[in-house]
Amino acid sequence: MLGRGPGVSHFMKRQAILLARRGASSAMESVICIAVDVPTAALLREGHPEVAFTDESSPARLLARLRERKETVNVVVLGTGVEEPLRLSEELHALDPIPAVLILSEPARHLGLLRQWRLSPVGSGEVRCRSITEEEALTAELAQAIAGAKLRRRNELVQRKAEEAATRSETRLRTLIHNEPECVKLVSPDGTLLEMNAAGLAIVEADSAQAVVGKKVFPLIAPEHREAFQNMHARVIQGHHESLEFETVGLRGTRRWLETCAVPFGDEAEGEVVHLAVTRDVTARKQAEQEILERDQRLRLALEAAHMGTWNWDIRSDKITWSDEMETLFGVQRGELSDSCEDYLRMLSPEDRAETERALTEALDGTRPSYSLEHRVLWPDGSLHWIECRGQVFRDEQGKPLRMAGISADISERKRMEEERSHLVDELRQAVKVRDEFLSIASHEFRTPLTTLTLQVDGLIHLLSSTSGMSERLLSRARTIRRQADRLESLVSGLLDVSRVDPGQLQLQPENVDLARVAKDVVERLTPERGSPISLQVNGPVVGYWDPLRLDQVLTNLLSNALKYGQGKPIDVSVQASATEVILAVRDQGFGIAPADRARIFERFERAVSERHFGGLGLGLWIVQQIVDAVHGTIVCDSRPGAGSTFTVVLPRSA
Amino acid sequence: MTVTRKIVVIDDDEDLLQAVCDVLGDVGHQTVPFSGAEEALASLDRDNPPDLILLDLMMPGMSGWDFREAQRSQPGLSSIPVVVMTASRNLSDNPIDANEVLLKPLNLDRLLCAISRHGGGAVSG
Repeated sequence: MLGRGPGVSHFMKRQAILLARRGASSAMESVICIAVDVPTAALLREGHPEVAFTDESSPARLLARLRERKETVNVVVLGTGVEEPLRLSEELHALDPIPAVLILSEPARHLGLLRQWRLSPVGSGEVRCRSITEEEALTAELAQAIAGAKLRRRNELVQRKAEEAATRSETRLRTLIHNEPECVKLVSPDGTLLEMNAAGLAIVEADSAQAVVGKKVFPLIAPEHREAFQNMHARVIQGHHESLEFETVGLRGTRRWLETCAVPFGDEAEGEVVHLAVTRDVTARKQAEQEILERDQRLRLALEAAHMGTWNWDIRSDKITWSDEMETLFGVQRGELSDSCEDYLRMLSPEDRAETERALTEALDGTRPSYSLEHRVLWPDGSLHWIECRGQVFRDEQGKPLRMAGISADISERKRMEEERSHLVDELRQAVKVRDEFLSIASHEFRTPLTTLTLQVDGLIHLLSSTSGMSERLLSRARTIRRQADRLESLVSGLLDVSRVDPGQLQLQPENVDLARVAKDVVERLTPERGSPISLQVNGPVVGYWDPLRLDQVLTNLLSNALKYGQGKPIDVSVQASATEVILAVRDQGFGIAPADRARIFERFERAVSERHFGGLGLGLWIVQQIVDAVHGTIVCDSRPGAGSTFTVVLPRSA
Repeated sequence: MTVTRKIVVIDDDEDLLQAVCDVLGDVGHQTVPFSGAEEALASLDRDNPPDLILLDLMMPGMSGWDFREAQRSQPGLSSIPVVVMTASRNLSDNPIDANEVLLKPLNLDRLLCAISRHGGGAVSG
């Protein structure tokens, strides 16, 4: 009764079976039949040997079984005996969904049901309504139904998974964006802020998204950067990838430097492109850059002010990098300074090239600790300029030179001043020499008439003293002339000493001399007829190797001062000796010297008292100091104003 | 009282020459003044030599150094004592071989002491 020969039905059946098999590639298909009459069930089993058929007695049991979810059921076949098949199929769909196939033996009798089934939103049932007598067709239809149901179910599952995946993906993306440490935002073409993550809200100082989202983003940009930002925004909306550094002003007024990378986001075809940007706070970097820039500017200013430049010579590539100031130092235009060391040497004054080259070589091979040199540079205009260079060599771990870096300074002005100073010093030396020669000649010339004067006055005094009856008044006048001649002699000697006692010019003629003898002579010579009495304390001869004339001069000058400023009170001279040195002290009880004046009195042409009250050239103590220094001795002054002064000279016994 | 000595005085400064002769004459010495060393050297009589020569160093014509050298080279004259009177302080550069060097300015006491030291004979009361 069932035609099994070749034909359209058979072909369809085979296709359906293949289709069903393909859909059940991984496991055996499982079909539950409910209320299917025995012949139909047998027919199904025969037509689908790859399918595992099981029977269920009632819809309630079927649903209970499926709810346990212990098995995977592909299709439920509802037989003609099922009551309310539509409701059951809906419940099945809600459950998994499991497609249901309804078998109607006499479809014409169930037209209402058929219509409802087809209109059912669950769409699970392609209702196969066949008479059980059309066995072959039924088998094929069932196979198709199974296959179609499975396909639909698979599609549904795929779609559901895709939706779930999309949901999960979106959740992950939202979490990611929200937790992203950089600011992420979406801006609509008209500049409305669509979305912004927490990091972005923090940057613009918004307490909540409502504070900024839905509003224009441009007011958050610092006014001076707003135009650049708007231009960038426009280009992004046109489809370009852009980046920009700009300053933002937060809602609480804080300015921050931001760096943003923006891309167009969305479907251009549908006209829904927005501006997606990831923005980071680069304020710290900008501040550091600004600090470096300012430091660089300060350094540059300092270098410019000092006429200095810096350079770095990469030894391996033999290239020199010059700072801009170096061009000024070499008198060339911007960019004209060659980076080659050879060209550098060519710019030097020819006579300085060899020495410079040697200094560089020795600094590189380490034979001189650093590169330090002064050389002249020949400017393109032909003028010569002095440059001072200092550099240091930097080496690798093996000690091989990698680079030399240093500074150069224009020292032409300093050189000019040095030359000028040297010239002035020469002139001064010459002037001093002329002065000394003049003083020497002048004092020499003074001595001869002084001798004549002294001798004649001495002769007169001698005559007046030895001739009786001559007036005492005449003798007194002659002695006054004699004293003044002595004074003149002393002044002339002092003038000569100015030139002869100058440091380095003091010539000593030492010999074995008894200081005690010298002291006695000086005291004897200077003891005045009226005025301060002088006492001398000395025990025995004190012999040393000194210049007797200079020794005499030291004591004479000290004693003359004591007489001059001693107010007529007693003066003590003492000489004490040890094995290695002698101590010569002259003590007066006169005016004394204020502490502030004590150092000054040893200077040339200085005196502790006003020249209005005391004459003299102010040379005595200076000469004493020079002589004492020359024999490696010391002199100190101990004095109290009003209580007198003590000058103590310590002399080594052999100079 | 001093022993009278015959003293030759040589100095190109006429006033100083006169002063030295005046003061030495006042104390009883016999002085023979010369304002030039050459003239003085020529007049020295080896048969009747002076007791002492007072000699200036820096003089036009024959200098004191030249005079002393010539005098020392002549037998009969070389033994005459010479006391130098000079204003120069740099004798270390041009040393002079003399019995004594008196630095100008000098006074009568120092002059008479030098004469008595080198003039020979005994000083009397």
